[in-house]
Amino acid sequence: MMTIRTRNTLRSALAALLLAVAAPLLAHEGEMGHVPEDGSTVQGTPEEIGIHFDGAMRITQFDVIGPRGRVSLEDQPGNDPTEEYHVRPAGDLEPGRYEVRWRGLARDGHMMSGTFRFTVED
Amino acid sequence: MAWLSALAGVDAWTVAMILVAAGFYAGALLAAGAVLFRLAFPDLPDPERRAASRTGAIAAWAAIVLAVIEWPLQAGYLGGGNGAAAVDPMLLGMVFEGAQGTQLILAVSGLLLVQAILLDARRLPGLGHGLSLGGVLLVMLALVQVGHTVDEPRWLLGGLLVLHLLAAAFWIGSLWPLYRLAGHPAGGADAVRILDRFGRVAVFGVGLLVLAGVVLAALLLGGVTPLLTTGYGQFLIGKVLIVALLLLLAASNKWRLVPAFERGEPRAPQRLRRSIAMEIGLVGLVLLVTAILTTVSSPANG
Repeated sequence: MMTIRTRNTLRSALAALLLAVAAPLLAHEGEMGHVPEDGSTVQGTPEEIGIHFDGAMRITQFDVIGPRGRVSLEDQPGNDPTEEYHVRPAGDLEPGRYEVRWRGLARDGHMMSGTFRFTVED
Repeated sequence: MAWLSALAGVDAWTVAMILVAAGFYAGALLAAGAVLFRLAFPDLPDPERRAASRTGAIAAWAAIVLAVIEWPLQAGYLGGGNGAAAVDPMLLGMVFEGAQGTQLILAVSGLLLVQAILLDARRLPGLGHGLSLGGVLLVMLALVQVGHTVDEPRWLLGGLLVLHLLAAAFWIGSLWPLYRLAGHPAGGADAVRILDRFGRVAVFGVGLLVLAGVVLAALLLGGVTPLLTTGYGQFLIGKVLIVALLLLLAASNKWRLVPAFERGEPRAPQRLRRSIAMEIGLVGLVLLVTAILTTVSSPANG
């Protein structure tokens, strides 16, 4: 026989589970978009390269790697918390495939990283 | 498979972070568990009592060392995974000022307090228990500083994680003393009494562990689909499968091997020890998967 206490515990557990499914939480900062868009092809040097988050993120690494290795960047912001992180290439980008590698620290202490790619055409 | 692609981007630096994190979890939970086990079983035979205290103290020191090593490893990761970034004062400062720094301070303070478990042996039981329990509390607080349990509703998420961790710590902290007790001759009164009572306490502990874990996972993932489609969800399934194996072993101990031990069957101590040793191995695996979960994936981004 199930005791009253066991039955109450099971009911509470079930209620907690239902509540859990009914109210999914908003999780922390995620990537919302990239400039240029991931996988896109752009004509000529893009004016800016950047990333957009849905919460404040402290970017600690933001490297653009192209056919000739690491691209020099202008206006590299510091690593204050930001939702928008954009940089400008210091010179013209030659045609080819580019990869952006970034790392950062989210508000909740999670260390995050990601990559996105774009292609530059003449 | 999402879990494979999550691992594909893992470099040597991240592997080091995962291993150190797993070691830190093991040390911190073992230290906290030794305190809890001692409190739950005040009538442990002297050699086992001393062994539990010693294990807890050593585990706490190991966890302190690993917590301190995590700091430059995290700074190095943020700078792209290299040695220069690991000693960069700006990155070290950023890590220390954030949630990781709070975790480090709380963990080190708590683990130092856990050392009070040794005071017991010097006839200061009250003080030893009080201080070491305070240490356990700080260690638990440390473990809820980083990650999704700081999101709202923070008290619910943090509270569930603390319950989950307390139950896990108790289980982990019990394995070594139980392994030693199982080495006593079959049918020995001390060993029988404690193994039997552990079996009864463990049912509640394991229930709490599983229930808190399931509710927490449901809150963080928000549904069944991410469980199947994201790397985080798939690692979580892996963890649950290993825990299920652990539960099978625990059930077999409770209903088969411990009763055989109590009846004085000559081969029972050896079989019970082998089973507990397997549990220790599986716990190591669970902690490794947990470190992968918290290091290379997240419920938000897979």
